[in-house]
Amino acid sequence: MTVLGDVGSRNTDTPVQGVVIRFAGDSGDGMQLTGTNFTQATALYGHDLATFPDFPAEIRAPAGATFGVSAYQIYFGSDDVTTAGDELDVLVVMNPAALVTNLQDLVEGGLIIADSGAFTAKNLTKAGYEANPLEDESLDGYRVIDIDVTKQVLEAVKPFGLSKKNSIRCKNMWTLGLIMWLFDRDRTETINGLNRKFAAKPAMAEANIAAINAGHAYGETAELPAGVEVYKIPKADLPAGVYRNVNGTEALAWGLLAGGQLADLDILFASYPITPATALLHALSNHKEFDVMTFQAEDEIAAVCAAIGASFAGTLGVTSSSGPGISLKGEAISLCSAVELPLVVVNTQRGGPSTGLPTKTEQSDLNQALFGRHADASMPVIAAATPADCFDIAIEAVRLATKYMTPVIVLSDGYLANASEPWNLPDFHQYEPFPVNYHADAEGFTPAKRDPLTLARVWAKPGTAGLEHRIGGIERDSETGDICYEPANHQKMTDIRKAKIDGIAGDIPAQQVILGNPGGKLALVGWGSTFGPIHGAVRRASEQGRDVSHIHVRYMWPLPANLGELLASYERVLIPEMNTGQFVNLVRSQYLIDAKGLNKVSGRPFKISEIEQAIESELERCP
Amino acid sequence: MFGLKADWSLDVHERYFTMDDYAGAEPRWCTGCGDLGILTAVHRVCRDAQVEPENTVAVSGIGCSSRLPHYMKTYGFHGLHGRALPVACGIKSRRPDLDIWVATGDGDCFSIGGGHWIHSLRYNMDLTLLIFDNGIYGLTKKQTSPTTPQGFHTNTHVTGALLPPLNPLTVTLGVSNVSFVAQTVDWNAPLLYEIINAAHQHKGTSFVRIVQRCPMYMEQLNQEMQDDPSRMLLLTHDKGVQVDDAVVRMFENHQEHDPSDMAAARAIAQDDSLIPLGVLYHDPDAQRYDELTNVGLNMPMQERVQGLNAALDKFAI
Repeated sequence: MTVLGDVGSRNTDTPVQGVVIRFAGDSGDGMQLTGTNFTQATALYGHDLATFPDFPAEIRAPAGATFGVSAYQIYFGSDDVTTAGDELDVLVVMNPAALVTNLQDLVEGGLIIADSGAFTAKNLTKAGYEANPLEDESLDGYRVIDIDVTKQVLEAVKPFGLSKKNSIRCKNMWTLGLIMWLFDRDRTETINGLNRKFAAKPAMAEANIAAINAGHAYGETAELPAGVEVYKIPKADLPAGVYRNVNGTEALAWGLLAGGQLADLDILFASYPITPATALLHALSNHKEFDVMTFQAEDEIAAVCAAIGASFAGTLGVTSSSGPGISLKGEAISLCSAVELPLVVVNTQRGGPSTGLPTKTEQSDLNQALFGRHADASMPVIAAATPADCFDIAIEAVRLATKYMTPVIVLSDGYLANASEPWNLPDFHQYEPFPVNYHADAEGFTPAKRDPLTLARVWAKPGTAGLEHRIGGIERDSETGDICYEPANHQKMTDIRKAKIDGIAGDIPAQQVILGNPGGKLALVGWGSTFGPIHGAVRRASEQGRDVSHIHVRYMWPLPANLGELLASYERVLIPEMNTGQFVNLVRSQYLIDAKGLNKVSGRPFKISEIEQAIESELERCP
Repeated sequence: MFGLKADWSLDVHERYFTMDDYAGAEPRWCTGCGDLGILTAVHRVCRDAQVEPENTVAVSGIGCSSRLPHYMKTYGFHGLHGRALPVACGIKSRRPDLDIWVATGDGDCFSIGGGHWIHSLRYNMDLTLLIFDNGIYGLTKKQTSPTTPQGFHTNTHVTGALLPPLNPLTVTLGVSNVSFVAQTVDWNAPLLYEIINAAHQHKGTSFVRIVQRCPMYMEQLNQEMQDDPSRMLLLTHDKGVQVDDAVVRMFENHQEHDPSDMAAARAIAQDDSLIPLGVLYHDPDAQRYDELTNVGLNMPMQERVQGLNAALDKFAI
């Protein structure tokens, strides 16, 4: 095997600001676990980071198959990290299938760490290799460390008397140990975690710890190829504070809990399993300390209906799904708009239509959120930009739902749900409580009474004497709330429902320009999880003197009151989104602005470089 | 003196509710509709239980039956076709203090709401579930329902319903953790009252199928049933409902049936030669999901803080 020195873009003599690593292996190789442990250690080290777990829909595809490759990517460094990185500096592959499916993303001269023990004739054939790439010249443009990890692991865990199968399962920890050596990570927390995880099986804990330590020791002592040495990357200059590493799902769960506290409401979180939304149900399933109750309903429709029932009962109903499940909930969401009860609906979007790409990301449910229900049933739609932003967006959803007595749709996506970043725990005292005021006065009460300012219907909680009332899906009299089929009343009620939601535009912050000037040549307008790549690209372009700004919309409906005017102040508007052009259509129809779309639907997030190129070609078109 | 006990005291309610206190808007059901008798029975049961109207919630789906909440002066939610049960489950989960009625029909419960029917029975939350089964879609005008008799002419099966009807009793009795299954007819007021009352007193989901008249679309069929009590089988037992001898004498077929005997209940339900009336099955000890999920709420502050810190300090491994 030929190993080359410093031929690539990475020269260890120059200080490295950031590194992108991808761990790839069989679904059963524990790559997600390796990645999350490395991420924790990296966060503790003090690097800024972003991660991108990318795994197949199958739980355990046949070993060695290309379609069963599970990967976990992390970009960490001293920079302000905005994405998990375009190209890989280090690729860790546990078998030939992982190599063949990921090599194209490795930079020229990048480092490959391969478990040569898994490069068997059978696995090579499954991956479509005619010859072993570790033994021919095909990897000459890269630096390669090939180690028979299986052999090393079996040796390391021999004293603990595990079965061969369980011994081999420690491979991921051995690899983790080596990578931790390479990047100077502290193993303490991972070791503590293993002791906790295997508290009932001390032999497993000891074996896994021995594997990590052996991998680490291998790095220290073995003769590694030239140019492979411990990377020293300066710590990131993050603001002081208490940090936790969160993915969007966890932050969203915390946000819902926090929203419940601020509104002084108990929550019923009713949901049904669907990838990638289910993790939110997992995250909330064990939080009785916040009086949150979860209900795994028999189907999507039951879940949303139970949530609406909980809201009718005077608590807060929350439901969650991905696009196909949201379709099933559609009828009930419109009902909730009709009966005017609070409801939070979280859509963790995935590639579609139908089952589509359930473990991959997309932003193609915006139209569904805005328009995808029967009748005129307008409701607020808000979208989280980053994993940590999911926290604030969830709180905002609770505020809008309870203040305006309306369903609120929260858009997340598969990328946000699984990607993690350091989250500076906010000072919760800075959040203004918005306690719910239930209607209490029986004098002149009707369920159709409204707040004259917000137009929100009153919330009269069962158990309150004198406020007994009936509500339902049949059109309600605007004065009494009783069933009413009168033409003029339906016109009036439809107008009121629309005015109520439109009015929210006056209760949300004006649209800010995140980077760049208000007005100029080119605005890149994003929403949702495209934040990272757009921000990274606009920052690089600005540093090169380009007149380009980044605007990121979180309030998808109603839109911020100043957005139209702001966008009109740019010569060109480019809207990157992971769909065929849904937000760009909204912007065009709302503001009659000639906005252009940059669209990608591959199931993977944008690369910074893709957006940079689009910026260049847009600027070329500027007069 | 005069036989009055020294410790005699009158149990005076602070508030006493009459049937009017439960009666909402004037019903808009057809003259002769079985729904009217069911509504009256519900008002009576509420009055006799003296449940505060403000702590009572009537939940329904869509259809003739599902107008019931509007005719109650309690809290009420008239939701989606087939979805009364999940709404009721949502309410009950967070508000176990409320007394919840669910009104649904044969199309609403057995057809579009079929999934919820099965699963709600298993959850066994404390709900009184009344199925107004007239064997036809009424509000949408005479379409075949799951319980329409085979051969009966409808607008969707103009030459007669093709298949034998679904048997709601065998399906219900086949669900694990089911806790209360009864059947009655709308036109026997004393029996209707006793069965709804027993259902209301049961803690758990009490399933009551009410074989019910539709004077618009099923008149002849209902009349035949009404005129021929020999088609009925009255179930009697100490553990079932107790009705006057006069009511018992109206039925020529009686059977002593212990409602704790599931095998016997299933046998009775399976035999479609007679329409069983009474309590088929009753298990007061079946587990209730609403009780189980409420365990552990309202922790003391110290435990809450501990939980918060533990969750935040969790390291993903």
